[in-house]
Amino acid sequence: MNAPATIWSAWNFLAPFTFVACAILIVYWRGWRRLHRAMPARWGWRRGSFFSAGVIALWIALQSPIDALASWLLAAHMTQHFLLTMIVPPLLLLGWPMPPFLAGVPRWLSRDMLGPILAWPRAQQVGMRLTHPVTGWLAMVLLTWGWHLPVTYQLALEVPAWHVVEHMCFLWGGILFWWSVVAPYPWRSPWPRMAIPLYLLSADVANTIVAAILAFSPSAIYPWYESTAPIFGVSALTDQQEAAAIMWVPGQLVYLIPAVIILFSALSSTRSQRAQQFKSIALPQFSISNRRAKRQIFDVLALPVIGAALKSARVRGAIRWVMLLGALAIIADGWFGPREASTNIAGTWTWTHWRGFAAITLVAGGNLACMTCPLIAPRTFLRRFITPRFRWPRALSTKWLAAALIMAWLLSYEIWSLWDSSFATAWIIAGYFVAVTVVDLLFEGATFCKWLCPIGQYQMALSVASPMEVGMRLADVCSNCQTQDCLRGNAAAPGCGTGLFMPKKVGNLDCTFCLDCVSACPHDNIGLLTRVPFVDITQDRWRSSIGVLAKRMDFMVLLAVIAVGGFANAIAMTEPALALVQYCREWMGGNYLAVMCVVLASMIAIALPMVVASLIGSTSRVDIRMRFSHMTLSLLPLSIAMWLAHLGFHFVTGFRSALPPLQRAAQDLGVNGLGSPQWSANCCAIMPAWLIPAQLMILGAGLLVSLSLMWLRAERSIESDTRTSLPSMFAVARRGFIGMLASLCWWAIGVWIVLQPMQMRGLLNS
Amino acid sequence: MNFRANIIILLSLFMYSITGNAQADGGQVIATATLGQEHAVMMVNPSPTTVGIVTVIVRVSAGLLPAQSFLTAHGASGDAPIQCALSDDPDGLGQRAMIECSDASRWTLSARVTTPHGDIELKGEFQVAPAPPKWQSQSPWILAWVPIAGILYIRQVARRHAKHYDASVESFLPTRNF
Repeated sequence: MNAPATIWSAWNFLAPFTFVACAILIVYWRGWRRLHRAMPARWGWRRGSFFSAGVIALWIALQSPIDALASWLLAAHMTQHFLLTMIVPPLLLLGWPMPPFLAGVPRWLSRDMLGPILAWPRAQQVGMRLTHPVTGWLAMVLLTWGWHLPVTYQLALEVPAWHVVEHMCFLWGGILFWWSVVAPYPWRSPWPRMAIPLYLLSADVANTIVAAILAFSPSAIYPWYESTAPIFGVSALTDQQEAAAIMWVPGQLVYLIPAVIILFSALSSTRSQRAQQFKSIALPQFSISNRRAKRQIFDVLALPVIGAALKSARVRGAIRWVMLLGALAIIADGWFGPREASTNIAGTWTWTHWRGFAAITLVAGGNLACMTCPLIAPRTFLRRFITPRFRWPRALSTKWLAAALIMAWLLSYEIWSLWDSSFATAWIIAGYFVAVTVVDLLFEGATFCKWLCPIGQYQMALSVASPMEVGMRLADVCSNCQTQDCLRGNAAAPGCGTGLFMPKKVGNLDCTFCLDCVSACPHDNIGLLTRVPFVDITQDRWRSSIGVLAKRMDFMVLLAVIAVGGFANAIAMTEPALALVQYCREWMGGNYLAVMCVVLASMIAIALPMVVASLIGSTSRVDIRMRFSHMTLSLLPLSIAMWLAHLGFHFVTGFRSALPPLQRAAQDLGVNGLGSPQWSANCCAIMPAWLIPAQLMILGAGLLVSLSLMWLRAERSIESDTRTSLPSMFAVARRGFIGMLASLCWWAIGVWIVLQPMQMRGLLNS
Repeated sequence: MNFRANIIILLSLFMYSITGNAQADGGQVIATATLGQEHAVMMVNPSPTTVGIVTVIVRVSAGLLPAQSFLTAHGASGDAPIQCALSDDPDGLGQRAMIECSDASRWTLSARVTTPHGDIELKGEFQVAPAPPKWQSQSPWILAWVPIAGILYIRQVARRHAKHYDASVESFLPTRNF
């Protein structure tokens, strides 16, 4: 074989599997460390070394030059299969992987997910059958024979998907076969140990027959290699004989060596030794109590630099002033710059970049968009001179007005094509500044944020998915607090503008992440803490400043508008919707009316499953308003997924369009240091291949959360009705069926939207 | 720390099932040629080929290296042929190019391989099928949630039948015959 020297450079170090292999090793060693501490004799370094060697051998089989050569030389392919079936599985199993993995994964995963499944009698039955020696022997022999037939081997070479299946068969078939030989602790073989040499020898015979057929065949069995093997200076037949030799000689050794070892071991040990060996196999004792493990909470404010910066009111204020400068630049460019939105930072930054970036940070981090909001910088400054005298009227202290404003925002965005008008965008931002400043100089607290701001409401709704929340560090400290500075404020900082009292605060709704409460708390007991996303909307308990969320119809309508708006906003940019607008325009004669009708019709159509499910659903016996609330809250994750998929799409496809308008604006001001704008970035959207799969995965994740919430609601309602725990699966499925159907309808709409040709808004060719 | 570890662990569990992944080329051999004792082969992948991006791979024996290849491709639609030079493979075994087969028809590929020992002409044909509908090509991603939903469902069933599932970890280990 005369492969070029460069073949040895064909190591695929940065393949995804490299990271997977590292992650597998991290989990294993994490669990091994715990076991080693408890039982150092049983869990010695040898176990970890075996497992690590197995993972490294697997990596070599899949990412080394062996893999690059596999489709050109049968001998290389045979080496790869030899590693996958004969070397990797026994090494992995000699590491006794099951207990380290159970101990290595997070406790919630082993306790709440793997625990019930592994302790399920049916799962145990399946496990016993799969790991039975007969299953292992049949798997190895049948897979070896089946995949070496010319038709299947050729298929694997031609179709990459079948190649993957072939490798998985060899790896998992090998694991099933070697399971009985290695007998990884704490598994106990149903067969006596003396039977294993026979098990190995009989499998060796089956392997030898295939090797012999390959070795003594007068012609090449696999036509593929007739074309490819000569590239390396060998005929297909010689290559086939080399492959047969690999299968035969090292293959036979791998079968025979353990057979001999097991045979001698069994013959040399006495009955009492065997009994002692059997007795010593006891289930491992993990240092986990029976109580539910307390979740570890991570506090961003406890970090050395970032935490200290965020805790400082001056730093937070400075961030807002920087954002304000950016907003003023956007307004100025919108007013005085070119009218074409894609060449103006008012058009691109506002609608393409900020919206997408905000949606991503809301879901990935927290309500950082409200935290850095530039709109409150002027009012904070002016409040040094003007003290608000009034309280927001009680009659208006609901979310109805905010819901109406969001509806107006959604409609006006489409009717006046705001994304396409930098001039109008600049006026809207300027008007927003004026409105916030006037309202908040007249009324106390963060009145605009809490009761009026449509952007804030949207951001607070999306932050239900955030893995962060502003919360108290220790409950005892708050329960002993007499001053309640987090709410009322003090000389150091104002209290919560939206009226949230920390000990009773639940989730992120109505929280702007302004962190004034952090500055005000004299006990330094408030942090930016990790949490389980969506967990607060599963709870019906009373929450500060809101009450019982499910009973607040104004809040529910607000969330429903945001939820429906997520889909309607995305539908409006699809080609079928644009064609419908065109048709309505010709039919009705008015552009604004046509757009409004199409947007409203789409909103009604999207809302229909939710409304119908609320009307006829039987998620609980409570009144229809509660059913609507539960439906809205359960569908919210799916809607958040739609917002994220949609705005993330614009962010990714229009990412490169951020710089040219800035360069143009700088040049207009006589600053040439940023270079000349390359407008090709603003006319040709680049859609990476991963974008649609990523959007679909996000929608799928949203659906899973929505379905889980529906299930949870149904289960709880039956439990409260019947006063029993864990009702039957059928009863839960029946009660939650309509809600789950509504979730599937929304998901199907979302998938349809993602797969449609899209209008590339904010770009020159939109 | 724990939060980061959880993400890594979740990713590993998700991707553990794809450990059978293969990076090797496969596809369809469409032409072979010889120059003295040396050989050259041209293949396309993926297989079966559909409208869209197709990878053309040309490989020659080590004795013919270094080689430069120039590709001409055309379908039956009568559009102007695609012409491009092939670039070196990272593994040093040959060269490759990605072309966009825009119509479903029988495509003809011809590659001229220039080597220190002379030129080789590789010519072959392959069938390009119509592109599947978008929902079909994206179906693995559309339905990616289904296996996870299945696991969650099994977990719900198991919760109702498992004994002592909420006890300490040792009860997670199957006891009978394990």
